[in-house]
Amino acid sequence: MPEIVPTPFFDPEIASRLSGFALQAREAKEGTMSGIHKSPHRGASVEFSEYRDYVPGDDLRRLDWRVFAKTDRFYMKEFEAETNLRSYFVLDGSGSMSYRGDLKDSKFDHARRLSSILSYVLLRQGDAIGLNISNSEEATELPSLRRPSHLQEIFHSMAKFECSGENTLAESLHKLADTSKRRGLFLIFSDFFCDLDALMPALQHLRHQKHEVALFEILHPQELNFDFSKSTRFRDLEGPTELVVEPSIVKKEYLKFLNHHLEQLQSATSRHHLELIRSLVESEYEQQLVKFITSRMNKSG
Amino acid sequence: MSFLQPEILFGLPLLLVPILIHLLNRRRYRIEDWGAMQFLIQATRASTSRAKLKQILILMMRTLAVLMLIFFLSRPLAGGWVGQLGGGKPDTVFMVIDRSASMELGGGSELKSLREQAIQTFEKAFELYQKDSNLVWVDTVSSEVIPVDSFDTMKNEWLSEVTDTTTSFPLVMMQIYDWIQKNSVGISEVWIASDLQVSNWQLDDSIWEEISKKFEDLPQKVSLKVLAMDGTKSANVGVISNSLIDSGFGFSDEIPIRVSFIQNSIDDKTIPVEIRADEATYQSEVELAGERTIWRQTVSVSGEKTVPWINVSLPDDGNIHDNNYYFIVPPEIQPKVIIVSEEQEIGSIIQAAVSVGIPKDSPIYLKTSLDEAPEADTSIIIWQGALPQADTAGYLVDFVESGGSLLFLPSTDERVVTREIFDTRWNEIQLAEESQYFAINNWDQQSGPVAKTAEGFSLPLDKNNFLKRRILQSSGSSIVQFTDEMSFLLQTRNGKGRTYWMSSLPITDWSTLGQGFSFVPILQRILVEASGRFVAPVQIEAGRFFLDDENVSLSDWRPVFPQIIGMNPQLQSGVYKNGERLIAVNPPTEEFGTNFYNGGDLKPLLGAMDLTVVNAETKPTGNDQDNNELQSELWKIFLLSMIVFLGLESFFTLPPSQTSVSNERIGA
Repeated sequence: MPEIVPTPFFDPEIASRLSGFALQAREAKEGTMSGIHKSPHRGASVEFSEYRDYVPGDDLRRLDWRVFAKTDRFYMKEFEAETNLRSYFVLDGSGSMSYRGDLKDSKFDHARRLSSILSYVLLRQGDAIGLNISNSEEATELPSLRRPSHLQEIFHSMAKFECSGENTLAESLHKLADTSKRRGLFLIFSDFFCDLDALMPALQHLRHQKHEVALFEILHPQELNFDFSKSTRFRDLEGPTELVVEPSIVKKEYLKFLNHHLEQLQSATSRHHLELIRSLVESEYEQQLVKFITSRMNKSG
Repeated sequence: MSFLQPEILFGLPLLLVPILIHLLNRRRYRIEDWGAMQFLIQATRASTSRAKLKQILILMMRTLAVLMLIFFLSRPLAGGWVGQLGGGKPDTVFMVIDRSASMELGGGSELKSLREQAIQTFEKAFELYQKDSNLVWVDTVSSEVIPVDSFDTMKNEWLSEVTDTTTSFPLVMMQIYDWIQKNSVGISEVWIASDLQVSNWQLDDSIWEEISKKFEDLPQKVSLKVLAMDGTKSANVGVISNSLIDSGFGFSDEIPIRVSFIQNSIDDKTIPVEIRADEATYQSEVELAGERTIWRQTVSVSGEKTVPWINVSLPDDGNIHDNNYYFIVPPEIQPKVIIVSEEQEIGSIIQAAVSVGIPKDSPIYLKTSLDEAPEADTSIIIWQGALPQADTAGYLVDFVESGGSLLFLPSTDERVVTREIFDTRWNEIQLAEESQYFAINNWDQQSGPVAKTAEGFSLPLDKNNFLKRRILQSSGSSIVQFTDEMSFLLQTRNGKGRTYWMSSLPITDWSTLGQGFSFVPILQRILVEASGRFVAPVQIEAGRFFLDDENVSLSDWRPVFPQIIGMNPQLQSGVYKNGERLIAVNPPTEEFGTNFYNGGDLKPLLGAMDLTVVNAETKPTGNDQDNNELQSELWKIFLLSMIVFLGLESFFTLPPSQTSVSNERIGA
């Protein structure tokens, strides 16, 4: 691995502790290089998978002659090929991700912390990683490469990105789905404060292309608690809207609408077999990542 | 609604303070750059109307709390049920327990006196009030209004003392009114315990209309609770007198007394009477007939010893405080008389008429003119003739102004005299028509020099015939009138003294006055009255004794009879002595009245005051069904309202319960 230039969001200690784990895709992925992930292409590997009856047209090279000699029947020998993983880190760069409240880290900072560790882990195990950060005003896209130096490029792009503008996650995902023909893993980091009716088709689009999708729901504790005591002028981070509000009066309604949105996201993701992980800014994210990685080890074949 | 402290209402602009604070608060806010704006916009949209309503309610609660505070401090009053609801017990209870002699009825036997019963009833009734109400004692003897700290203080200080005084309820009510005005008290109740004796209440007096109006005009209505005591339930006989009969200029061996016995029944009966003249006692009996019996007796005093006082006493009965009457036997007076007469004959007749009743050796000077000022100890000057002028007129004016008495008789000089003195003069001599006379048919028989005799006989003024007369022109008051309404005798008051004017002469060519049947008693009575100015009053009514000498204190007047330590000449009947001076103190005449009002009689006069009359057997705090105009202080309502509004304000401003979105999916 190349030497990593220190970046404020990347914690090398956590990264080194997690480098012992292997982050596996749950489903078979198409890769150009051999790796730890299952490949949908049969026969190109040494890992035996199964026997099946011969059907006319099958490649006779893969006929198991030994079984034919013993049983006088044609069986085809199937092998499971292991391949490297093509993964994409999709970060929401909209204005709302810059909210930090009274904390040191913004939601975007937190997203960078998580994604930087995971990108390190994936690259270390030989997988290709790509990056997409976008908002209504700006977009940064790096192709999925397994070159070790690519990590530095990704970190650099993450570091220099400034959150602003509106959420364009749905458009970005559609675009990615269209351009990524080979199956891959999409790790999406966002607060998902956007129109779910637009987002869900984009996620489905990714799924339709056989991509595996994991959503990291990055939220700020203040957004969940809404603990303001004084009258407050709220300025929209994604637009010109400003509201003077007596927090005690609107709190209940605010939490009701927020909760409704979060529940909708939860039910929609589970309906489409999308993994959703909520992570609060400045929470102990190492454990969350360990849990995320180990759960995949268990579930994968 | 009215207010006891209306100046506090100037604080009403303070109502703007919460509104200003509210507006200022709206301008003071923190700024937060916010990500989850879409939910905030939705929440604001959903709760805008509710939020506005809440804001208005909070503002309203704060403003109302300030308003209630201002009202509370300004002590509002209201009538009707609102007043009753918020007022509760009165702020002040004025306690009036009649301490007059008639309230001692019942005290002579084992039964408690009316006064003691009233104390007991009020003490019990006041137990309910003592925590919340101030107590003010109104003394019926002195009419003083005194705040006291407890009922016991009142009882020990005043109520234990028996008095022979009377009570004037109009005066008591006026004193209470003045006190309420001066001290800005809140809702008040006046508790009066009385036997409703007519003479104490004097409901016929027009002053009650004034009193009723004054109380009606007070911002706080004052309710009146009268505990009506039965003043007739025990048999009682009282003894009373006006004076010794015609005491004149003193007595020698025999002293005629006249007393009235008044009983509260009309049964005829005989009761023993004891007469005490200093150390000697005489027993007698009197037959009572009807309510009032007049009894005459002559007390014989033989020997050289002078009797200074006499006591007429009855045995104990329903009220022992009206069973004694005390007289002081006046010392002999030698009046000094100056007669100035233009005619010797007339002067002699006057001198003879004067000499009849007065003690021997009394100085009488008969003169034809007055050349120098009369001596200060002169009792009376009798002037017959033309009215004086120059220095003489000045002497006479000075004499009368300083307290002397003067009797003018007309001149026989037929010339028209235009002179006048004391705003009075005579016209020319008027002759009766031939074979006719001027006659008298009208005179004041109640009091003054032509009143009926002690035995009740009228003076025979109408038996006189007048041939001549000089009509009087005067601003004075006429005492005796001829049939044509011209004055025969009139009186003027000048300074401390007075003048009498007669329009005819006691000589035969003028009238039959010279026979003396009318002329002598008139002259004698004027003389007695004129001499009285040198004698200090000796017969005094309880409650009406005032120290007239700065060097003498009340304790200098020691009781002579009965000799009871602590007796007070201002309150108790008896004979008292200070040095050589004696006085007799008796209950006021009006306390012997046998007429009593009933509760209903009070209602028309004091209706505006929310009157409740209860019998002695009932508590005076019972609610009257008509009692719906009670005006009360509402401070409790406003204090409570303020607390409620502040509570509601806190409720509205409380932050909502600590809810937030669960984080169960963290790291799932």
